[in-house]
Amino acid sequence: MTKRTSLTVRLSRRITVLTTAVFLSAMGLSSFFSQHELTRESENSVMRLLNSTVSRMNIFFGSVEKSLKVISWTVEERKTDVEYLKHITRMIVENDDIDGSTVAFVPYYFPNMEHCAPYSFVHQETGEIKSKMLGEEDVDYFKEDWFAKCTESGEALWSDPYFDQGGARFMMTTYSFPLKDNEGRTYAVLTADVPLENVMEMTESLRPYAESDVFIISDKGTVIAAGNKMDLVGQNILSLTEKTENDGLSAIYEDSTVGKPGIRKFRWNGVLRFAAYQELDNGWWVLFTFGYKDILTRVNILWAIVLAVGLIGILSLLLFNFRTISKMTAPLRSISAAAAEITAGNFHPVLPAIDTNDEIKQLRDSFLRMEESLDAQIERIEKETARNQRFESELRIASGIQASMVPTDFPVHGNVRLNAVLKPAKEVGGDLYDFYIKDNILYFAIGDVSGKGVPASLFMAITRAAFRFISQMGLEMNEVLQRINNAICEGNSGGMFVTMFIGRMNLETGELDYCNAGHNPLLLNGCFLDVKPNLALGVMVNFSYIAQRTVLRNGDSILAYTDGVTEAEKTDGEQYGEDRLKAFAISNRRLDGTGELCEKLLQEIHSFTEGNEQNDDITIMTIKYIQNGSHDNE
Amino acid sequence: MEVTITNDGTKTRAVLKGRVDTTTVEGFQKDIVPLMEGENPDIELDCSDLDYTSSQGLRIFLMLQKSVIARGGKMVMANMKSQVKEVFDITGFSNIIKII
Repeated sequence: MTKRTSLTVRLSRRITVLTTAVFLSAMGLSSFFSQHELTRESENSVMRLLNSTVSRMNIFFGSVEKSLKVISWTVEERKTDVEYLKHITRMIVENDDIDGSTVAFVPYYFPNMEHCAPYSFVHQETGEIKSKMLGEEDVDYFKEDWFAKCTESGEALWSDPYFDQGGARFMMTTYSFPLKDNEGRTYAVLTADVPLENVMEMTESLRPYAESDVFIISDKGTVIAAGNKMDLVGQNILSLTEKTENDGLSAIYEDSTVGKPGIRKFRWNGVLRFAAYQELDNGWWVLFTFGYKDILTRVNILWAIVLAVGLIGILSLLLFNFRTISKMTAPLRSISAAAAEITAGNFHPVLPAIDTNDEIKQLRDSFLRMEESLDAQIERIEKETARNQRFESELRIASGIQASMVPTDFPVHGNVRLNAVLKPAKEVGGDLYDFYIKDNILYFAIGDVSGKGVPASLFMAITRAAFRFISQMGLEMNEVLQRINNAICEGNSGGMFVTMFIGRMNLETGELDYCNAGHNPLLLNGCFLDVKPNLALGVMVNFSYIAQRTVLRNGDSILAYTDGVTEAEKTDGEQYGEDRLKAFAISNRRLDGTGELCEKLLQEIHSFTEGNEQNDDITIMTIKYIQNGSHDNE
Repeated sequence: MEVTITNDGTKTRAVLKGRVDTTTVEGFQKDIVPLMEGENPDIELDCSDLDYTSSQGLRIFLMLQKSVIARGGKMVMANMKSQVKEVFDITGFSNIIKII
């Protein structure tokens, strides 16, 4: 059994599915492009921010470099005046961005003095500027990077950052500027200690996103500053890339070594992140990382809004569709219920009123017309049924009347045994037989009206009455037929005709006078009697019939029949025929004159036709002559 | 039952094919309606393919002949098979219908 789903539900479902599909496609496309756009825009904005930060850092470091370069010229003039040099370093430290400065001479630049490095610095607690000589107490600066590397290379350089031994709160870096004599030999190094606090502050502007980090990395890959990720400071970025879940860092490092700014995706502890990076003028570089989510958050919010609006829209649409369709199809349900009522037998169910002029109204109107048509048809059928019933009942009565027209009170007479049967194909038929005995004389007739049914039956009645009446007038058999013929010809506009055989037998002598009007010849003891056809009755007025005579002997028998016997057919058209009839008559001689013979022949015909419908009336008459009643008990 | 009617101007020829019995008699009666009218009433019925006729068929032949005679024409039935001829003989119709 199939599950029933209402039209309303199906329509609503389809519309909603379609709408949802369209909406989701549109939303998917739009969010795909907006995600792409937002990502690109975010990347651009990050790069702009990074660039501006790097510029500020360059200015910061550049100003330190420039001030040392300018001051280096003044040192040149009075390089042996230690007090003056102290003064110079104090001047340098006056710069807010610089916490300490020294002019450190190479060993024994001054005879008798291994170390000579006047040094000024900002006191951590008081903020006062103080001066002292390095190397005098505990600092053997010759091995310090800022000194050794600078004197070795003869070039200015920024040191790797470090925590000041004095317990500075911030990381420091030192800019070393070589001072050279006329021959180009480096005799001292001018330095500025720069706390990285200010630089780190500059990176604060690089925090547009919640999960972002800023790193400053040296030209050798050492993490100089790492915001709040202090544990990474001092580690080399290349060593971090060795962890397998940190993928893409080496590519970033390679970019940085050739000074190429960029933005890349990479994995940090397995999480996808973005890295933006740009090199500073001093060879360091700034690495800015932020989460993929930071960018996508905006897209996701967009998504959520669109999705929410869409869902509300689809739900509203579903509700609206459901209610609208339900309302529109309500008349359909009423009409369906009305149809069910009609099926149940109520032909006037209440139909819904419909205001719209649409298909549903057409349906309702068709339904109304159907009701009217049903009424008319039922009325017609009732009338026809009544009429048919009347006809049938009349036919039954007619059938009874006709059956009673042929005699069934077969004679009880010593010299003759006679039986007959008439089986119409329809209720009434055109076959007839008759007999009566008067003054020891047997009068008999058998006939067949052309056609069947009611018209034939009327003719049969006329013919049989005419025979009864005219045969008693004492006329010869040919005259009897002539008079019947003329009676029938009168007013026979339908071209009907009757074949008929009549006979008159003297039961004492066996003399048989007979006359035929186109009827099938009789069988006498199983052989055809010599019979002139003459002409069927009703065909030609005043036709002259010729009578014949024969004499029956004791035991002779006559079998009279109509063509319903010989022309009884199988479905393939084969007829019973005269030969079979003859054979039947010969092999059933002992039944001559009995009703048993008639029944047996009927049975044989029925078997022969194999149940094919009887299509013509059948009449059988058997007569056996018994002279002087000698075979009465045979 | 098939009836094929041809006309050569002076005589109408009708070829009858099949059986005239209870089931075909009505159609046969309609088929020969054209033969019951017109000004060239002479008719030859070719019965070489007529297999059987019931008494109802005889009645139609009789009426056809009446119609032909009423219009001053003649009707002949030709090439009749023996079993059909027998029916005409038994009923005496061969006395009043010309069979060649």
